[in-house]
Amino acid sequence: MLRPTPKEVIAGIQRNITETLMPELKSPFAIAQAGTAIMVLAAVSEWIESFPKHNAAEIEDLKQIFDSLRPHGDSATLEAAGFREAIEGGVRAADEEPPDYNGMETAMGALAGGVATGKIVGPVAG
Amino acid sequence: MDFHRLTEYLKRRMPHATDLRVIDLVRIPGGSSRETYSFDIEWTENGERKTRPMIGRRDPLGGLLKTERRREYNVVDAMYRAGMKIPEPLFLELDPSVMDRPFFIMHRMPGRTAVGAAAAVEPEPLRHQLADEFITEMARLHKLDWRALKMEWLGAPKDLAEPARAQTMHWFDLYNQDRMNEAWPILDAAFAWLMANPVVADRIAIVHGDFRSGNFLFDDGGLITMLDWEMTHLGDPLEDLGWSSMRLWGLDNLAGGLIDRDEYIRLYERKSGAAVDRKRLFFYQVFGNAKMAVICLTGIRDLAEGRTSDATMVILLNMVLPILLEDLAVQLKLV
Repeated sequence: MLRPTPKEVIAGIQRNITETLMPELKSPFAIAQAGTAIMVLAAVSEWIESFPKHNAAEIEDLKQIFDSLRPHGDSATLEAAGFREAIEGGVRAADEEPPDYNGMETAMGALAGGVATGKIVGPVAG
Repeated sequence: MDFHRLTEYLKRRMPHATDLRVIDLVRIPGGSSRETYSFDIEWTENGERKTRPMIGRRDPLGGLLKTERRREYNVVDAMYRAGMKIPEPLFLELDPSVMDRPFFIMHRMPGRTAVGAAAAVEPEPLRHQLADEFITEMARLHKLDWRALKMEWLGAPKDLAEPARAQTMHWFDLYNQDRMNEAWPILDAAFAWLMANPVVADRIAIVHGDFRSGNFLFDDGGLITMLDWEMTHLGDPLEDLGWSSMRLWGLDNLAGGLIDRDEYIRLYERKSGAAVDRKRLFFYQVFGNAKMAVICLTGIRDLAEGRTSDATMVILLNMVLPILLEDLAVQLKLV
């Protein structure tokens, strides 16, 4: 493992803000901003570890959804409700290598809109 | 704000004052859509030494909202004259050469703010008093005769169906502008729902647009003043009630962190003298979550593209946006 790790670097910057910078600050706004920066760095530190896994799982989930919605699959209800274009867009995005996350999410947005407005009903909506 | 430029500006605006001094000029947190500064001034007038606490609000380079300074100042001025609990507006300066960007100065009121969990830790009797005064103020705003106040310049809707439609489209346009080409399926669904289920107002009123816990100052004696009038417009009064009763500003079942949500709605019914249409209220609660999510995206975009260095914007992405999306998913029955 390469040292320092990104987490160790972030922890160092957090300590720098807490121990060096904050005692010198006088303005309430600057103190609040420094406090927020520490919180943000804590979130980023966690994010660095969890993001790749989370992102991969999310892409896999979306890919599975659109795999199951290929024409002649579970998509008949959705196609009948006028969502053929969204399904085709999602399937195309899922077929790309690597899968087009944004394309799949856009198609999901259209389908979620269909569920929210009641155009898509039944088991598929769940 | 620069101390010397501010002093010189105030000397020009207060020619009757001699030996004018600006004291304790500091930028303070809060009011994320504007840079907010606190200071006092001291001057001599008619042989008497006087002091006054002040707040300066300057346009930021970037931030949460893109609203126009003159409009906000004129709203504050009109509301002050109409007797709302609001700090007295004093000076508006639109010339950017004075302090780099437009700003305005108003009287500084005492008190503290609290939202959600922070409001919920206040003693119960004070929370009930604050809820009563807050809702009283909201109902009073909604009863103001905007025609008599000559506030058509806020943009009078042409019919009762326009407020829901116009507000939805306004925030949908901002959503498309500030989403940075990212897809947000739940927000797409929310706007699809809002467009498919528009509501019709029963009357047109002055709507504050950000009437909520965290936007009023109070002390142990109760509510002192309402803040942040930059999103004020003419529309459906239930927009304010829906917005203020969103889960984001509260804690568990406490609307605004103050009192039980159902009791809160009934209180508004009593104070306004009109029954609240729950379907319309629900529309504005969905709308409120979508609107706040767009405000988050605007702030995040400004941070990502370097127009603001305000670290709070990351908190919006990390902590606020997930709450809003979770609420929308439940409201729209997506989960």
